[in-house]
Amino acid sequence: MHCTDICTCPYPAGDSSLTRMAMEAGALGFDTIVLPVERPAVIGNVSVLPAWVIETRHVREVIRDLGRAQQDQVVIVVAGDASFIRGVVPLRGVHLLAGIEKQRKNAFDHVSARLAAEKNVGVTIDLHPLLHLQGLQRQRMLQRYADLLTLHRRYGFPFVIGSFARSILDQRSVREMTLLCALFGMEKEEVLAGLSSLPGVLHSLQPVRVVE
Amino acid sequence: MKPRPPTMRIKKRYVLSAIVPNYPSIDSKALYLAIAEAVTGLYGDGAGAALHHAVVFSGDGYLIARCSRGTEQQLATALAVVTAVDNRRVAFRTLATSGTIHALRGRMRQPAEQPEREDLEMDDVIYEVHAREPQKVDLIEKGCNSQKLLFLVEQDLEER
Repeated sequence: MHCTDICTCPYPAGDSSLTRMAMEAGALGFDTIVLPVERPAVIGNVSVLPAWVIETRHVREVIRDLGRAQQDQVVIVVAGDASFIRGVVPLRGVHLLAGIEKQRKNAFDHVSARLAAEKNVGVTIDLHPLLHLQGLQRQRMLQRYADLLTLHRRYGFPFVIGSFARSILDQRSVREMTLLCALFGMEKEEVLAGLSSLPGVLHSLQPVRVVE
Repeated sequence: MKPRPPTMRIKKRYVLSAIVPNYPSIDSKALYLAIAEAVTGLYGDGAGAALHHAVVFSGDGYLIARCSRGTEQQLATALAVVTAVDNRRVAFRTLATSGTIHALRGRMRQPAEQPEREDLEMDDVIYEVHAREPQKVDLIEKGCNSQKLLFLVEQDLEER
């Protein structure tokens, strides 16, 4: 079973070095991690995929930044309002849509969900807020994830689960992620599919063409 | 007083977790309070009371927590959301669940004998160096109310 985690901020921006985060991910049951680094690497048994994070409010800036992204980078676009999401999802080269839980509830609706399923764009489930928020804020986050899960079950867009860890202290094992996702009603099989769905998003299968 | 017969006792389960980073001194009571807060935050007072959770052992970088049988997954979830103990950043890595403490003690790896290492100065901050596992180096800022942590490997220190 191939499992991928998404992390952010290796040292010096964070407190954990890239090698240490990769070693920790390997010990926690992952064989690939996505990190905002320049080049892909293999550390021990763990592959490091470079990420290109685009955070802007305008679709045309996303188009400009997509041109700068390299071939082997995982392109993650941080979500905005409903019109932004509908403008970004059909763009060629967008792999993942992150931060939907921080937007208004109607920002990612059934239209965006259908579009994401058609274009094979993954929607990320960020477990970092579940660890660091408490009380009402965590309840709201769980409600948002439950809502996204309903859309995922209906329209079948790819879910990509990640710890979005800033430190090794934020990284969680596959088993712990399964338990955390159970808080908003996700089944174990769905969690495992969410942890192993990134290769399918990066290398989406094209229809078979007959070449004569 | 006559003890309660075994069939009338609450069936228990024990959960073993590794504490990261391995702070030299971490209080069992502080661990219990952090876990209790996480249990209450996730499941509320009613379900939290049904867990019957307690900390039965802490030391050598490990923690054994107790709960009633059937609630071990809830306890493991609560352990996963603990991010600080006594205002010190921490993470619990759940390793195993068992019906006896003895079985879990067998799962604890004894830390390899490491020579005492000198304190290290990086970016004008003095750190204590802790190397519990091969290659992995945890740096904890020296001081009574320090918070700054760095998680590196030997190679990172050599490159500096």
